[in-house]
Amino acid sequence: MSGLLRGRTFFKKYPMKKSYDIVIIGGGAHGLGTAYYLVKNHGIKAENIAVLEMNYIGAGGSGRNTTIVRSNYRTPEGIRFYERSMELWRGLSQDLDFNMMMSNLGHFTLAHTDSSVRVQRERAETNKVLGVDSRLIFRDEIAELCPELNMSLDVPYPIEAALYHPPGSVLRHDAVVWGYGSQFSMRGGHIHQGVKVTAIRKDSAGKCIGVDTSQGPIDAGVVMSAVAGWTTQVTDLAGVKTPITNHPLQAFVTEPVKPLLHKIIVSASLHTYISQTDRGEVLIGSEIEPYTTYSMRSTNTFLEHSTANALDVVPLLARLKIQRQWTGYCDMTPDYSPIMGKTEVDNFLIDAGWGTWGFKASAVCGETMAELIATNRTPDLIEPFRLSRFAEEMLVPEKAAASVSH
Amino acid sequence: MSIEFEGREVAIQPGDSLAAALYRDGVRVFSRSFKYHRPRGLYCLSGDCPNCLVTVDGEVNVRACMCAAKDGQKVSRQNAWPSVDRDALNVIDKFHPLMPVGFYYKAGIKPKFAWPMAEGVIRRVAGLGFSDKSDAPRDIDRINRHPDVLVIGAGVAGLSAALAAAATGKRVMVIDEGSTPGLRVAAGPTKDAIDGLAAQVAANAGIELNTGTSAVGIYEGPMVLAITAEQTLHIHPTNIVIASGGMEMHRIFPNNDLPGIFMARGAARLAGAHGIKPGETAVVWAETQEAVEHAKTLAAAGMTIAAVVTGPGVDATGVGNRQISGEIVEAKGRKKLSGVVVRSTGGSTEEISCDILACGAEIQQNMHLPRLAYDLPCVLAGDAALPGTTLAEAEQQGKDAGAAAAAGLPLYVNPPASKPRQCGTAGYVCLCEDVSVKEVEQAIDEGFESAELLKRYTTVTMGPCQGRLCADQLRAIAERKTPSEAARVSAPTTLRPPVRPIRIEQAAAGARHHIERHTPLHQKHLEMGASTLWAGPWKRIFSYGDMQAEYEAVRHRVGVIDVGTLGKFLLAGPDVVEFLERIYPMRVADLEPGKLRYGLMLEEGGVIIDDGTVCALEGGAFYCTVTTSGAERLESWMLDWREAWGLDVFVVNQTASLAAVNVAGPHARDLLEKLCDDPIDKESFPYLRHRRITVNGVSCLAIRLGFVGELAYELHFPAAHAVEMWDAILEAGKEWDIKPFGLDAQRLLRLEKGHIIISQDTDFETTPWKVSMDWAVKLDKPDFVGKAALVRSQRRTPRETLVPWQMEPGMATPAEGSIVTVGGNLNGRVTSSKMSYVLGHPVGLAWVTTEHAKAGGTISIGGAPATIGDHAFYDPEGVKLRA
Repeated sequence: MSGLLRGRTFFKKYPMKKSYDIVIIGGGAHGLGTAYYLVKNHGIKAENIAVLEMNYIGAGGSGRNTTIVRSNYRTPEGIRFYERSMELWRGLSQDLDFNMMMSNLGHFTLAHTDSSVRVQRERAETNKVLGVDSRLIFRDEIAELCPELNMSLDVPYPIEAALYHPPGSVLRHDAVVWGYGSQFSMRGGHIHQGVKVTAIRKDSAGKCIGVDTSQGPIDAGVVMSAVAGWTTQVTDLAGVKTPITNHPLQAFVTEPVKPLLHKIIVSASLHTYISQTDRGEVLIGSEIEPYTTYSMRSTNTFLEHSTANALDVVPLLARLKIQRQWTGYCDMTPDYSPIMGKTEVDNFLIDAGWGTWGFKASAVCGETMAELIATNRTPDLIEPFRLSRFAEEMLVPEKAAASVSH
Repeated sequence: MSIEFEGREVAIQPGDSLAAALYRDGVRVFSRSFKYHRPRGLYCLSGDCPNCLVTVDGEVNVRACMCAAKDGQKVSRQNAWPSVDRDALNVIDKFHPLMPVGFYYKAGIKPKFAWPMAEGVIRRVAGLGFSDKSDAPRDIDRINRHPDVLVIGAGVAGLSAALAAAATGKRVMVIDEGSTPGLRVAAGPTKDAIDGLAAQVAANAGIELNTGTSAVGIYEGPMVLAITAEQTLHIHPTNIVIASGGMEMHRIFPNNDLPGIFMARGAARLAGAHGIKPGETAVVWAETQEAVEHAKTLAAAGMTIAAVVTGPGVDATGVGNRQISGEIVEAKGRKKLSGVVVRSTGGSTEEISCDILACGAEIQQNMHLPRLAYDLPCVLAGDAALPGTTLAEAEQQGKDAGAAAAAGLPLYVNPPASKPRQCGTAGYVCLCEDVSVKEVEQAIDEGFESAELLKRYTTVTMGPCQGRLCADQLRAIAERKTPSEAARVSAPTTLRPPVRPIRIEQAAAGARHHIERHTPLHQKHLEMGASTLWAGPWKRIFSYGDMQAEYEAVRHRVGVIDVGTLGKFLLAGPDVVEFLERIYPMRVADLEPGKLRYGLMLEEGGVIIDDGTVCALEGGAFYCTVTTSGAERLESWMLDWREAWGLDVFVVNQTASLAAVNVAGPHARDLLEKLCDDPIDKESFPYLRHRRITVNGVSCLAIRLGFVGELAYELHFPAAHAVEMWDAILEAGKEWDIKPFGLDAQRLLRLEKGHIIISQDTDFETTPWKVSMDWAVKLDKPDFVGKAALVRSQRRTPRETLVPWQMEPGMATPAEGSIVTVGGNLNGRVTSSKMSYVLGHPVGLAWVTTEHAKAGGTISIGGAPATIGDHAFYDPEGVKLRA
């Protein structure tokens, strides 16, 4: 407790240098996490790393997500990757000396149709083989574990079963950004906010040698793009092609109320996820919008359908009041898995394709991208997510576990 | 008339809000603050602050000042224990220094087990009210309205705009939150002006005035979402006039949250509109001339005005006991206001005793609606356009705005950016979240410089008021602390809908239903005791109660299934052959009339998205079927390609207009011959042919297919004849003990034949190569959707292959979705699995790695061995379906 009373500084400011060993574009959880692990795990001097953020840190997907972390994915590649992230999450508050407020509520993926039961069973069994705690449970157990759910059979989509993932948790998303950012900054790392990258500079051989920014050019040994929803804009600058399309994703929160929902609820069939934060707000979201856009305007269509679907699942939410709705971007890939690692432009790395699953990966993503930069060798954990997999037809199909489920 | 307030009766009067009724009854503390449980009283009386949130009939966070009091309502206050009047949790306030800004981020980190324990307590202490768990959602009506001009706000500007717009002959709709225009305005010139305009509006047939209606969002369209007590409105105007007014700014000084401190408009509302004397002695802080009128209103209600503290340019001559040019720098009192400290322009300070402080600060725009209307056809008027307008200005602006909106001038609003506002150096910036100036400054010192980061770190602007009181003040503090980067750190935070809180059930109005499509035979099936399941938007028949009996009928005698849900398309036109050659990967051009072919549909990546049949009709047209869940999607898909290619083709969706049944089993022909005089013997009507035949007097397109692996005729005919056809078939089939069969039986029948079901056995990366359907792809065609990708992927061995498998008799049938292991390692997954009655052992389909996908190989499913097959398990040569 004594630590509370002494003055603390979380961020320091430094003037921008003309040259860094490593420039990371994007001051979200991924970019700042990578910077932190470069310093902590690989002994790279913090002052030789710059994180460039065009807005404020955490302005993008890091600050607009469901805050859910879990590892009950479908493919072995996905499960191993997200399970490593869970290991990091569990110790992150202590590691960063910043409370992430991890709240281990348990995660339910509801199944309303026999095809959905089939998919959830496959996930449960694959998880089990790989040591992840999740199992398929049926109506009686669901009703017992989560009495708030509507278990009536007299509804269009009765709940038949659920994939129950006890480790599934929510945590404070901004805290992740600030925790990583603070540790990086206080060790001398450079975070420059309000700086926009305007060009990726290459030498005559096509190698990346730095960036141009709204505040002048910067030389860099390695440039990494970690901008999620803005990926296509940065890869365009670098001349790198990705199969990414940008879709909006919306969510809303209610005014805070005393605890009434004690689990994280997800229903793929009804396109909804619901959880209650420590502050008492109930957070409700949907799947990505079917159209692509760079507009962040919210829609009433979303509000209408997400509320209607949420009421089908948890009717007792009916009188809660909606306080705020918002929109984020999702950089979607064809197989609902990320794109991480090297590109055809030497020294230009990407960390992208984070769709609706980027937040929960930020810890492992920082760790593995840092390892790649420091060792110039792609870690096994992210090798399946290489950009070239699309041309090689070696997809990592996570649609069944990533869409809506967040 | 009375309400029940925390166990006692409180009398109410006509026109009372809950806040007015309770205040008259002596209630002064209306809530306890979110974090420190400080007592809070009425403040704005306009629904803009968090101070009067109460629970009404089980609904939490109702703004007492906006809720009309009704006889019998049950009202209680929130967020206190044991009661709001004596809240033990107020002790949190004493530990203020121990709970610095960002407390939760800094505390509870070590030891590791501390946080999960603390969290449980925090969850219970947080939140504002207990939501009633027993109530079911109410169905709220959703009403669509289409006025020419929508005016939001029935004040002087809004009513003037409505009259001006209506004068041009446009249909005008006015919405306002109050139950009558000017409801919350105290008697005076403004009220008189509103009353006069309202009378004209009432007499104008071209204007519809909707009171008690709150605009909560403006979306693209434009579409204005509005709510009343009973309804949710979707208003689709051509143009919008936003005359939603302004409000007095929240002033920040030490103890600025004490009960007894009001916004001047709020105090005047209580006195002038509700006839309630707010207290005995008031100090009025008049930064605007308008506030001097409020001082008069309070005096007229019988209060002593100890002083009017005037800002620059304000004349309060003759109002109140004293007039002091200066400002309020501090409020005094413990649980309620006992006095204020005034600093005069000359610099001297003095304390004045009072129980009411009315803060008539500078007017700020109600910025939420204008900001949401960004880039949409809108006109702003009155305080919403230019805060602090005079009556005459508001009237003129309203007239101009109404005329402009009626003329449909393309006035896309780019609302004026609000400015960071003057902000005191101590006191509460944010009433919702209990955040003081000192805490915000500390957060800046810790490194959270910009308004956006401060908002997230301190939670200022994130409470129920959504930044109305505090957003611009927060920006002002950020600017003051980091002047060198003022533009960056004080950039405005984004405003979001809804503008007023809206209940989840209100937002869901009109959307709480699922479209459920039925074939014309659905009722028949239900009468026969059928169970149903979802298939896309359709409810299809799962079983009639005895799946095995249904199955046996098809395998050994005859059965009938309703396949009316299949997508059915008639395609014709000069370019139809070219079109189908490009849509399907197989050849269509050589298909003679009377013949048909199985066809996959692929997306550009070569992935299978659907399957069905193509029948070549006489005269050059084609009849194509697709899966039940694919029909709607594929119709738009085909139309998209038609437009992209510019081909002259008609695509007619006959899914709903045609019924379809499949008569299958060894006696299918015998049965149909009883109902049909056309030749349907093996030679005249062989397998993979179609004919137009007359069955039971109805002309049908009959198609010979073999999905279930038996002799079968699929009959497509006008939906109007569905019931009589169904009855006739069942009647004619009695001699073979015919059974209708559902999807459960069909799935087993097809599985024994090794036929795949798209989406059950395939996923979004399944190419024809992976399911051994090379025969359905002709790469020598010039082009078809997915060809380029298939050519590329043909060069590689796919990682996974779909294989049929079987188990020994007596083994338990594994569940679908079970995983496959080889040598103890994860290898694949089971997509289909059933006990085969004819074979006497489990059969199924599974994805396995291609290296292990060898016929005769052994895989393990749930620990049990299974053998991979290489052909259909039942009737591998297809003798039966060709019968």
